[in-house]
Amino acid sequence: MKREIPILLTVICGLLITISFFAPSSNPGAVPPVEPPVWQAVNAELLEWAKILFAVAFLLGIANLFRINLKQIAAGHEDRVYKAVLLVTMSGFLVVGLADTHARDLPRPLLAALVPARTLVLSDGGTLDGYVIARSQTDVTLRTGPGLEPTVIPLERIASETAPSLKLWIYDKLFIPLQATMFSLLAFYVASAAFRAFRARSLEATLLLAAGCVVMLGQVPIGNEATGGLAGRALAFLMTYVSTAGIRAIIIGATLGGLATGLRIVLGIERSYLSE
Amino acid sequence: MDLSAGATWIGAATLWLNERALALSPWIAVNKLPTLVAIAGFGAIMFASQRRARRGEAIEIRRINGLDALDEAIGRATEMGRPVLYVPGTDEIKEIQTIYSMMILRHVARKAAEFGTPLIVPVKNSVVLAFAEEAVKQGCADAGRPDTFIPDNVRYLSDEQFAYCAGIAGIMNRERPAANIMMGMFFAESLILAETGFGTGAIQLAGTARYEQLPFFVAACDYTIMGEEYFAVTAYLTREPGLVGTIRASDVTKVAAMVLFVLGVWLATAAVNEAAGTAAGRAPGAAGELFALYQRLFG
Repeated sequence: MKREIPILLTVICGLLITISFFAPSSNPGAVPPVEPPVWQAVNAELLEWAKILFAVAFLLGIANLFRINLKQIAAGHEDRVYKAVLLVTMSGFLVVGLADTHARDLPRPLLAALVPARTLVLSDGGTLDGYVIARSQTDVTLRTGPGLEPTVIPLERIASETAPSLKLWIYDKLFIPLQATMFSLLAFYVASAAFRAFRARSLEATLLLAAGCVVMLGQVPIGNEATGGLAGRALAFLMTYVSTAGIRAIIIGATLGGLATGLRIVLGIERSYLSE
Repeated sequence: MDLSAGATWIGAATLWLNERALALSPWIAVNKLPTLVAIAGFGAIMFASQRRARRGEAIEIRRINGLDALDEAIGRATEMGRPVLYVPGTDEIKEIQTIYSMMILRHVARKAAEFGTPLIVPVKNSVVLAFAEEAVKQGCADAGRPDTFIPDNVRYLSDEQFAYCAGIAGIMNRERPAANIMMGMFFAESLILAETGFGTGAIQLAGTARYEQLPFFVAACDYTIMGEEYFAVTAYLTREPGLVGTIRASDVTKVAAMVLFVLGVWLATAAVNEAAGTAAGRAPGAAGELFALYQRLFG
């Protein structure tokens, strides 16, 4: 049963999604009138279930990360400091993120320690720092002052509001620069890979080198200018006919392969992705 | 070319199609009907090919060097006493390439278990983690050596693309795998991974159906499995008749697609010539109508 139930679920879900893809969507003006889009609702519901599964599976990932790294830290691995930094950073960000999302429910000491206060600029020019715990049509309830006591501020007294977020600050100031750094490495890797790929060791490599040179010349204004527009025309020819033909051949082949694999999985013929 | 003889039946065929489309519209999105017919046709060819293959008809598959090198790469890692690294791409399990990568992983895990070589599988998605663990475990069991499964070698690194990429680069540099196998859906990280692996001197095999990343793999890897070859991996490695039949079905469909392309180009050219002739005062033929019918059927 460990194998049969997942296969049955795969077949049922696969067929439902396929039917919903081909079912007519709602069209009030259709003649004869079209039934309400039941299959689209089924599809949407299944996708919601998938989101829940993904969220639950995320815990698996965190558990895996903790298990492997804690084990290596305990064993005195030479990189244990980095592993500790990873776990501390991950846990810290998790705490900050949760605190940011659930600020209203946090006890006061934790609130003050983990969540940056909002600043309300009042219409009389003064400012007020605190944490918004409730809003209504007429006023805002704010925890403010040394004791973080709830204070009701009428909306007409508030000119503007700023909401700093530690979570977003970490993301913007640390994570995005780190990500950009990794992405920037691509420039160097492209150069080193191109250097190797463009060595004219065979007829194919020579053709690649020639095509590469034409494309590079055609892409930059100076190259196009220096060749009297020839490089631009050659670039257009290579990209429109040669490159596009190759790309389409790859796409058609890959699509048919993907379709065959998809059909085998949806119909329950392909089972090798499950354990026996 | 004069196509006017067919004008009557073209009109009748178009009318018949319109009537059928209207009748079917409460049950099916009519604009998706050609897709459904194409999928049904492909499915029929696939099942017929599988049946013929199972009856013992020999279906030849051309040599794919990258797949022949798979065993060689794992063997090399065994000789060097170093692990094999398998990267299943950076997309989620809903992507067909990732699902297929899990099937290839099972085969790689079986070979690695047969040779007694550690297999490291870093994953980017926690659902893929569960699939990868199962695939490696099953591969070890297929080899008759379930004891070679090391749970800690299937590692979730990060859901973020470049954090995942940095994690793999770290594994390549610290644990020095002798063979890097990258199979699945890749994006901008493909060249970073392939170049880092090249720098460590590992033998590298990459496979993807994503054409944008193929040039990077071709430039930086020893062997590249591209496009349709990627979906032929399990058939090529196992020679299981049902799977080999699928490859034949793809080939038959490609031939049919080529015939349709040529027909479409011919009809489009004839339609353009006819339009030019009509503008010059000649009597209109049926090419335009026939091309409209073609577009209706296959467009």
